[in-house]
Amino acid sequence: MSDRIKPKGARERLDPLGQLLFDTDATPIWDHDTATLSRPLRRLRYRYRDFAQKHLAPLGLAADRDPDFVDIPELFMRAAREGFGTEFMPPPWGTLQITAVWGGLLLPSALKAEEFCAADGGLGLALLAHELGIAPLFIAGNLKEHFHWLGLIYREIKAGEPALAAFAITEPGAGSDVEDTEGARTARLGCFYERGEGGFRINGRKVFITDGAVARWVTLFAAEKGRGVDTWTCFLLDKSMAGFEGGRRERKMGQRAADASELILEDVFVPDDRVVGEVGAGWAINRNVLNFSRPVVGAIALGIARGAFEHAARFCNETRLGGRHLVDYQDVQLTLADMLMKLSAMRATVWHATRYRLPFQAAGAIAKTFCSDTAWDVCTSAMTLLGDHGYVHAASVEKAVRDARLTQIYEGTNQINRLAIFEGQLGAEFGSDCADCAAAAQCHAESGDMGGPS
Amino acid sequence: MDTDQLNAMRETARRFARREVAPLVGTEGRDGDLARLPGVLARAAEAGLMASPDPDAAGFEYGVWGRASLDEGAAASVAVLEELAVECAGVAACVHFAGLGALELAGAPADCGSGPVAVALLGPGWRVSWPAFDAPPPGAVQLGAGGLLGACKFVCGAPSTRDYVVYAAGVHGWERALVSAAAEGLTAAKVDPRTGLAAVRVAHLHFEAVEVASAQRFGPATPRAYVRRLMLGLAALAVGNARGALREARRYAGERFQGGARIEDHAAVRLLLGDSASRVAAAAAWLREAAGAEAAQGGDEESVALWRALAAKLRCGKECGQAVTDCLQVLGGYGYMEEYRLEKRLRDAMTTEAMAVEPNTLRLLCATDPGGLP
Repeated sequence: MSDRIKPKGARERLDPLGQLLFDTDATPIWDHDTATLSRPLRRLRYRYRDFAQKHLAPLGLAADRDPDFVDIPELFMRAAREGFGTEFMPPPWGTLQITAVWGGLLLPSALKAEEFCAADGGLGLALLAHELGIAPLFIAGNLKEHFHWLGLIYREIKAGEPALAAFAITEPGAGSDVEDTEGARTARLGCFYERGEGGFRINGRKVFITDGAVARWVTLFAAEKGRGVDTWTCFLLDKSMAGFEGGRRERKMGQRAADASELILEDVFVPDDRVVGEVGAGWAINRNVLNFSRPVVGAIALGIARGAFEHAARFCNETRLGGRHLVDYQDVQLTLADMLMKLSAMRATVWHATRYRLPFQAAGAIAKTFCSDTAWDVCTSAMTLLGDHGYVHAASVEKAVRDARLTQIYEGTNQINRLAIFEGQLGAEFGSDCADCAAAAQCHAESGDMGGPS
Repeated sequence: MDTDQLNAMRETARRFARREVAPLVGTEGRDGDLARLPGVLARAAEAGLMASPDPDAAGFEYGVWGRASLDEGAAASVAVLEELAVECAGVAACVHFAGLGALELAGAPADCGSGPVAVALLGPGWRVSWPAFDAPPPGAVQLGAGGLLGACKFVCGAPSTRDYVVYAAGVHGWERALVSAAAEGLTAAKVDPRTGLAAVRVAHLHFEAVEVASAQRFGPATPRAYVRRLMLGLAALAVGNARGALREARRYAGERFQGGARIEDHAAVRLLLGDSASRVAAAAAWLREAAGAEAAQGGDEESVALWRALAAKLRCGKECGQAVTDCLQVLGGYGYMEEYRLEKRLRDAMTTEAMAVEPNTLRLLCATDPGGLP
């Protein structure tokens, strides 16, 4: 009787056509979603997952305990040999599949980010940050530079050199300032260039630079001495430059396998041909890099949350409590269902954002903010399901919670991203002048009036 | 204990925490300098803040879960734990668990143990429920002629735990047994590494026919009072930890600039701080009410007091956990770095919330009206 009431049993009472229209297969959501992709993307998604589960998942916990446990350049080369380190250019320069980006420029990156970070958030970030590092070369829009420098980096990688790249904008006194229009106007910058014979001299410091310790190439942003971000210029530096050194490596809460390092520049000479785009175009490049990178951060958050969900679901399926499996308790089923629902919403948001013809500010910020906040919810729910096991490192879930927390902070805190959504979409639609908004907000804050609706 | 005495106790704990606990946390190492922990706990005992089974110890009566809490209620212990947790929830947790162990010996024969004791109740095979407070569920450790048999999971104590009080299923229901950590047949596997509360020793215990002398068996006793204190103490840890996080976030927001203004002047930050402050205030008020609830043994009042403690652990864990993560957000990238200690507070908050009875089970328990709730 009960079998005939369940969907599969009930379906058998339909006519053949009715049965065809009634999908009761217990196909995993992953396969359902994959089936909606084009054939090249389907293949890529499988390949990303296979690589991540084989090469990242087994190393994740050890790399979290000891960030030096994994040789990141060596791991990067393993990914590169699969074609996963040179995907910004088509053959013969790189491994970009034109047919894969047809439906959205960023969708392959988002698929990769989800799969890599579902296996391990820290190692995933260490590999993905390379794309962020070279993004300015692509986004600046100078084809000659693009082919010259990106071509050079990709040739090194293809020759077996771990030519990782890093993206350096954050400064000790300017974190959020360099990710937001209003902050940028008054940012207290600390990394400056001066023009000289045949190039530029750069002095200053950058902090929290992902892969800063292992990258060979760094796209670095500096302002003209004594001026603001409107003079920001993007330079392509390499670690062999005199005066360019790595500083302290931060001790982070999570995503520990990916280093967040200080970069110190003492009178570093950078030749003219290392300017990415135009002198003074750095701020524009930076803003658009964030438009491209934020949907991918959403995918990172999605991947970390999916990893936590998979660990928790497995635990509930294997663990017995009070004479039955945890997964047989209704409250556990409700929690798992909530988590799966949120994962589906996150994936829909990321895939939607990456299917726009071009990434834009609001879309990227929405994907990043929604997914990182939701990932936090999913991961903490996973921890709840495991009870006391939830805070044990070996169970993997607590690590996912720590990893997920960073996605609410980097690429602009979620507060900055919310302002970016307003500026990029609502502010533009309403014709609002953000400078006035900021001044008014500050005035309200000083007077204790938080500026609620009037 | 009247309000003045309670405030004095709170002030003593606050001063101790600033003088002794804050330097242990410092800024170095993931969880501070834990090599200093035994010294700090010894000084907490000397200061009378930490209970001990030893009648001559300073904290025997009025330390956290000292004997006075049997007559005067939970308020003083909860206040001290909250103040200690403002500086370090891990240290506060050590004091809490050691105190719970000491108090369990209140009903024991005179020659039972003198020191640091941890309590073992929860097992791998059963889920906390109202019926389980009254009668041991299947899966509880068995206490019979063949000694103790079974397992307890996630037994928390101070690092120097020497004995365990084990809640076990005896002939007449719940019984307690005092077992030495070195007893034959007892294996203790440390649970490490963990998310937070690194100062606490957590172990899985496995009992394989562990002999228990009749003098070391005491009961019958339901675990209601123990669970109530356990929950209240964890709620106090959550509140104190969140108060500390709020203090640090406010300090940072008043010192740092963004967009040409102190970050505390930005609405985005004020919203986070306002949310956090109101959550912590609500949790603190709820905790104090729950700690003040009378718990006459065996009556409806005991069930109501237990319900309030369970609800306090649930709500303080949730509200304070959210407050801590919002405070971390105020610091942006620095909040995520170990040296600013907000990430430690978040790890401690996550652990406190998951520990002992996790939120879903608490929600299920709180669905039952024990009678007498407003």
